[in-house]
Amino acid sequence: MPLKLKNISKTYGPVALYRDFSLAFDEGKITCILGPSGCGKTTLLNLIGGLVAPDSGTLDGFTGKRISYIFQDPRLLPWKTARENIDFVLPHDLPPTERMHLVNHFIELVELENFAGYYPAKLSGGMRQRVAIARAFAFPSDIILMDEPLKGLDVKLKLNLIRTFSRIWENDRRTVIFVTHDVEESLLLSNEIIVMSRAPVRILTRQTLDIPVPERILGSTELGTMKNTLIQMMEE
Amino acid sequence: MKISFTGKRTWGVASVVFIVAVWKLLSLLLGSEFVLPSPEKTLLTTLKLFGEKDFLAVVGSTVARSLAGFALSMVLGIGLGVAAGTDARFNAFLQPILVTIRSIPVIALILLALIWFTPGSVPVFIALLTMFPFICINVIDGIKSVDPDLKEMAAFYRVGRLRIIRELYIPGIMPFIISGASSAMGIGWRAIITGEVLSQPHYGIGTLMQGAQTFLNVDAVIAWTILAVVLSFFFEKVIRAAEHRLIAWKL
Repeated sequence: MPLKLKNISKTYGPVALYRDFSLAFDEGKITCILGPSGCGKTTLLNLIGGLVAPDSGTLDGFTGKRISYIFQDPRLLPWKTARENIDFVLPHDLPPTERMHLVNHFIELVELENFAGYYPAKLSGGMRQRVAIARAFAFPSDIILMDEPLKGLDVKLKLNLIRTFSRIWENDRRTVIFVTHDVEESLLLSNEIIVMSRAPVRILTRQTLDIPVPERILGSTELGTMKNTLIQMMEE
Repeated sequence: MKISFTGKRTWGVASVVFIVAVWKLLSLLLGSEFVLPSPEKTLLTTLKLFGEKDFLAVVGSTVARSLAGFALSMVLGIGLGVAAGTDARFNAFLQPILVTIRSIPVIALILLALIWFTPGSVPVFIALLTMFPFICINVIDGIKSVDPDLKEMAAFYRVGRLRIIRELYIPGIMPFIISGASSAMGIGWRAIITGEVLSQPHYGIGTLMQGAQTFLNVDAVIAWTILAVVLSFFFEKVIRAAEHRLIAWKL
């Protein structure tokens, strides 16, 4: 069953963020919502996550779906080690052996097995974000939502995290919906790019990228052309 | 670093020497053992306390009362504090009660407790009422200071309420609990001895202080006071050691 937002309206005070807005997501793909700051991208994630109810309209296919999150900052509990932070979000009905297995598996995938027992204060910024990525994947979710997960990081760290993320995702193929205002991030990480306008939100364009994530190079002609298209659309 | 540490210690010792020197000077000036005994005589009396019959029962009873009062205050303070910190309506209900308890003079509480309770339990009741508001208010403040981003994260992942309280709120407010416990113990300990002076339980530091005062054994009154101060210092050390263990993640 496809994931759909149907005729959604949502108003905050005097601002009509969404008016009769519809959008469908492909399952098993990384879809990027690209748009200017303050256009209601975070609200979109909150609607999908069920944290905010639309004024009108419906969400199809989301009921009963478990969702994990990657935020702009890692949001780790400072008094829990990397390992314990991942365990913290796991559903309590999972047996302890399975929890341990999940935690260890994803700690290894983000290459932090030597730091599993460290408190966040002892980890670098990039390591902390990798714990947050491991946490999102370890949580048995159907969808991963990401809100500007790479904002404010330097280029090297960004590329590093994108590689880590995509390596895990290649074997996992979970539905990922992520929002960003950064064109390059969207080019490096997503299968689908949806460009949104300012409020009230309209979809300006929807682009598909078929190049496998690990093979993407920012300087390549293909990404360059796509980048120009996207920037043109965003400027309109 | 090491030099400044030694320096601090030197100043601490200097402070104690200063107190003893002033004391000695005053006792010489006043010239009466019944008004202010000399430091050396008092020290001797303090050491003699250890040999006194029932010494352990006396000190043990007072310490047990304070620990009982402290434990009850912690349970009540953390329980009500967490409830008030996570529920604005309960907080609105609890605040006037806390303000009232905090505003009642300790002596009024003791006088009422003397009517209501047995001599042994009066100090525990007093300890509870003086300590619990400190802990409770600190817990409420602590909960307000818990990072909203972490709360949001836990809510997004649909972490259970119990787990959120146990693993997010409690560790988050631990520094506040420790500081509340420390002030509570300081105030509570004094209140307990005051309570004992007035309620006269069979065993208790306050009971013997009152007895010594009646017979004008000023050196004994001061000796028990010194012991009370040393014990209070020891409690503070224990709380700081607990702090070190409980918030190891900060270091």
